[in-house]
Amino acid sequence: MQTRLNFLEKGEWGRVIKIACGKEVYRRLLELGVTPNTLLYCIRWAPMHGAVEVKIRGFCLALGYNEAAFIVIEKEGD
Amino acid sequence: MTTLGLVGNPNCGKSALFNSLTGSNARVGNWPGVTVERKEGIWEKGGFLCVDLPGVYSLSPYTPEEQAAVQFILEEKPDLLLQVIDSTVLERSLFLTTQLLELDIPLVVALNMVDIAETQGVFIEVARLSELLEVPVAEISAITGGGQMELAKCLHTALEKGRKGKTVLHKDKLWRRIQPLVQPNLSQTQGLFRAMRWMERQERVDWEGEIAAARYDFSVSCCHEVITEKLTQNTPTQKLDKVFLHPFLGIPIFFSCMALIFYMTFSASFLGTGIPSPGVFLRQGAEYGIELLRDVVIRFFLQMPYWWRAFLSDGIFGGMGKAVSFLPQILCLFFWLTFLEDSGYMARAAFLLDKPMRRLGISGRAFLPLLTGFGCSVPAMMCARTLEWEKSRRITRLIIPFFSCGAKLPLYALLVGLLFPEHGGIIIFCLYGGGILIGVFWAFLLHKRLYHGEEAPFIMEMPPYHLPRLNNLMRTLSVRAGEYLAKAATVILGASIIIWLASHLTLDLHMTKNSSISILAMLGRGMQPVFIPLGFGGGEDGWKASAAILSGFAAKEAVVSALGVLGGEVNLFTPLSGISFMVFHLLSIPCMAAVSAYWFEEKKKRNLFFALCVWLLTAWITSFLVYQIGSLIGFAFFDIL
Repeated sequence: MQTRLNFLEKGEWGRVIKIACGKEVYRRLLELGVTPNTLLYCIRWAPMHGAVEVKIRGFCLALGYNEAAFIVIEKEGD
Repeated sequence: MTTLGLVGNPNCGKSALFNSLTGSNARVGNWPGVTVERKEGIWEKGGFLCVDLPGVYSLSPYTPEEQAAVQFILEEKPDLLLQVIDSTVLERSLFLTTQLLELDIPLVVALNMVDIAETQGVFIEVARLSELLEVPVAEISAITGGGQMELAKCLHTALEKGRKGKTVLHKDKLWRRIQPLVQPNLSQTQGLFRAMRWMERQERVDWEGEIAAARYDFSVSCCHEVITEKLTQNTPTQKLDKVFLHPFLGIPIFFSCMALIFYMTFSASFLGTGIPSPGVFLRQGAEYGIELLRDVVIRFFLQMPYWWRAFLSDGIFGGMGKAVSFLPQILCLFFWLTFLEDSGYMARAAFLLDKPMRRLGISGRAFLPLLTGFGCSVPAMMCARTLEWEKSRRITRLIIPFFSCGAKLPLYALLVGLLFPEHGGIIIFCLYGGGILIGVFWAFLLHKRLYHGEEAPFIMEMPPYHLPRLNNLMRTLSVRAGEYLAKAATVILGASIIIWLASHLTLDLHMTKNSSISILAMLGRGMQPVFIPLGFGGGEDGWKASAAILSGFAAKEAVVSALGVLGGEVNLFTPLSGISFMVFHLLSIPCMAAVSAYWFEEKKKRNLFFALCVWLLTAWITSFLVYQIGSLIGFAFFDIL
């Protein structure tokens, strides 16, 4: 089921499908390794669903709520 | 001399390596983006001129400090590049490597933090990695300085062999597309580089994404070959984050930490025991020491004429000495703030506070520049470069002076010690908090009314926690102490001398013991009408307060020096006017060094003028409100204190 990263709950896995956003943020996300087909794991949300911390390519990446909403993902079962 | 450029991702240990190679004192922290300007130093044993560059994730940068790094690599062309890699994130680091490999510059890869990777169960086969990348790879430890000889050998071999740029994409299906675009009349590197750039800029097809994905594919296949992973238990970082980033407790824990730090630095009665807190204790010691020194010096110069002794005693010791006596207390505050930053906690604070900060048009990333502002506004204004968007950079720079810098602290400590000895910690905490609120107010206003545009993005790597190293803490503190003392010996000394002279010379240039007829008194009286509504300009001695606040433009510590030289700070303020004075001091135009830093970063006269107006008016209006509302409610509250 396709959804966006801002709907990924703590402890869930997702696979990046595509990124839909402006050029600058897109480039930043690409260079950090958020490319299609990459697996990511939601570690936690900040208080009040502010920012999200995901594990991707072996490191922890913090993304704001809006940036998370740019990333189209597919939830992965475990 | 051969130039060696140090490149690598942010927070991978470039500056730590730079320090250990060249014996420099570059600032090191556990936060991506501590280095904002390139630094040069000579590595004598290796025989290189090292250039420490701001961290980048790729060669297509978009913040000013990243642009500076890439510009250096592409245009100034160092003779040799050393990519520092944090071994715990090899996969992501190799992305940059794939781009560096395309340049004609010889490259050496240095694997840093191998020991940490091994505790996480990641083992890297160095020889195999070197084969795959076709460049020398060396294991180093930036902190302990291990592996330097090996590294020097690798660098010299790489330099002798020279290097032609080569892409890792030639095996990828994309290569069919790229190759025809490489113009034959250009050198390989330039041709490749231009072809890639051209493809990345195409709108119709998302080549940029495809190229990035192909680079990451190479990186993943590399990692597959060289890394043997063993499963490990939860890392300490995960355990700590369960507490510090708790959905409900996270933010309260953050504010408690901050309050505790202020309490430990400023409270005259620590934990209600009547014993001074460490910070206050240190300051009392320094005051006592300087008092002793003054007595000794005065006794030594007993034969000198009266004016010379008065000058030494009141001008130098009363002015500059007073400012210096606050140094230990300031260092005490910075010890804890540096401790938190070094440990990696400040990046967590940015994560926690991103949502509220985003409402103000700045993202959680602005947390570090603002926090640096508590130290000094000048590096803070430079640090604002690391923010992604011009809009957030401008807002951040404008509100930095409201984050009370270390130089403003001596005045609070002085007045609070005189007026509210029991409640020092809480009042100073409130002043800092009030400054932050004013900054927040302006950020919100600017975000909503003046600078339109989208909200700033928050994309940041979360560094793992590590125990701050004492020598790193001490280095940061000694650098800060050195800067403070250098300022004391120049700007503050100069200001003290001028103030002393101006308060002992009459208009017809005769020395006088009655400072109320001096030049400075005339000047101060001229300013009085402006400050009387704020509660501290009036009365017989009111000119002293206005003269002191003026000297704050030279350096904020000079306000304390001026009060010291002029004397009578004891009777100058009531509790309420003291607060109003501190508020004005906190919010008004920062010192000239900070103003010129702002000018340097902003480069537009209109913006500078706007900023000066904002700072001055905010200070005046807030002090006015504090004093007037305070007097209206009779200020019974502070009488009880």
